[in-house]
Amino acid sequence: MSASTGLALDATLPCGTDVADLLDDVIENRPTSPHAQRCLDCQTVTRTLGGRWRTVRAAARAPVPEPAGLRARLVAALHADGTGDPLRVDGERGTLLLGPRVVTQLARRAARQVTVVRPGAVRYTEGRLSIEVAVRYGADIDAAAAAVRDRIARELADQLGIAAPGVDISVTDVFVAGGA
Amino acid sequence: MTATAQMLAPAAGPETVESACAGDRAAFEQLVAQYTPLVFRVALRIVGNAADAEDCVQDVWLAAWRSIGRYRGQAAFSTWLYRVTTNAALMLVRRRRPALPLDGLSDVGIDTPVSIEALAAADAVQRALRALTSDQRAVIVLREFEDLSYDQIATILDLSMPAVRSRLHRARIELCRALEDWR
Repeated sequence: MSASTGLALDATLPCGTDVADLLDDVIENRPTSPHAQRCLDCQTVTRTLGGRWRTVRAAARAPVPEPAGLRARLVAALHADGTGDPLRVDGERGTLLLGPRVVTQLARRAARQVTVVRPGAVRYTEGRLSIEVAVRYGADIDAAAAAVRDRIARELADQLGIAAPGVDISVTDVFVAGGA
Repeated sequence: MTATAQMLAPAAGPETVESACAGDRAAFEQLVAQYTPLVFRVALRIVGNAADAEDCVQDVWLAAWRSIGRYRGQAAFSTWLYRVTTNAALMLVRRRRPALPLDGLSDVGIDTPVSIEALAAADAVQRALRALTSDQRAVIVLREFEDLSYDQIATILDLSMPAVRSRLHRARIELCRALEDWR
C-alpha cells in the first residue's frame, strides 16, 4: 500500500481493520493495538494518517491575526448601531416607518458587495445616510465611492422600492488586499 | 491593537459580561477587545476568506450587542459566542455566491514569527477544509482547532452527542482525504 497516495479512507484492509478506525486511533492518540503492532498494513496506514493529522495539528497551532483596524471598525459600527431617524416610505395605503437599524443594515450589506471597501459605522440621520469605509490600498477612491452609492441605491430600490437618500461616504482607513 | 497591548488588555470576567448584559457599552467593548480574535479565527476557518470573515465578525458583534440582554448565563459566555459566531458563519457561507476563493492563512497576513513549514501546513489545511461541507467544517473547527469538548459542540451546534460524533467522524475522514496530495 502506498504511503502517500491512493489510501481509501472508507476501505477495509486485508487484515479486516477499517482505515477509518485507524484514523480515529491516530486522532484520539489511542495506544496501538497488539494486532496493529504486528500488522504491516496497519503500520503503513497509521504512519500515513499520522503524518496528515500532524499537519492538521500544526495548522491548529498557527496564529490567526486579525485584519488591521478591525476592532476600530467594530467599535465604530457598534456606536452607530440603532442611532438615527426612521425612514418614511409613503405608499398609497399609508406610510411605512423603517427603523434606522433596518436602513443601515441594508446599506451595510450593499456596501460589502463592493470588494474594495469594508464598511464601518453606518448612520441614517436627517434624511441622509453616512457611511465610514476602509478602502483597499491602490483602489480608485472615487470609483469605490460611486460603486458604494450605486449598490446602496440598488439595494434600497430592490428591498424597499424607494429611491436612495443622499449617501455621504467617509474614507477612514485603507487596507491591504488579502486581509491585514 | 499591538500584540503587546493585546496581552495587557484586562481579561473580561463574569462581572464584565454582567455589565454588558445590563447595557454597559464600555463593558461590551471590553468583550469585543477580548473575544474578537476568537470570533475572527472561527469565522475565517469556516467561511474561508478574510473579507467574509470580517463581515461575519461585524455581524456577530452587532447581533451580540442587540441580543446580549437575553443571555442568561446558562452557558459560558464563550460558548454562547461560539454559537453566535458559528451560526453567522454558516449563514454567510449558505447565502454567498458560489466559487468565492478561500484564502490560505498566509493571505491573511501574519506578523507573528512562525516557521515556513507551519505556515505551509496551515495553508494546506485551510485549503483542504474546502472539501468539507460547511456543517462538517464547523464541527472540525470547533473540535480540532478550538479544542472544544463534544458536549460544548453539541450545545453550540444544537445537536445530540451521537450526531456530533457522527458528523465529526465523517469530517475527519474528508479532511484527511483532502490532505492526500499535500507534501
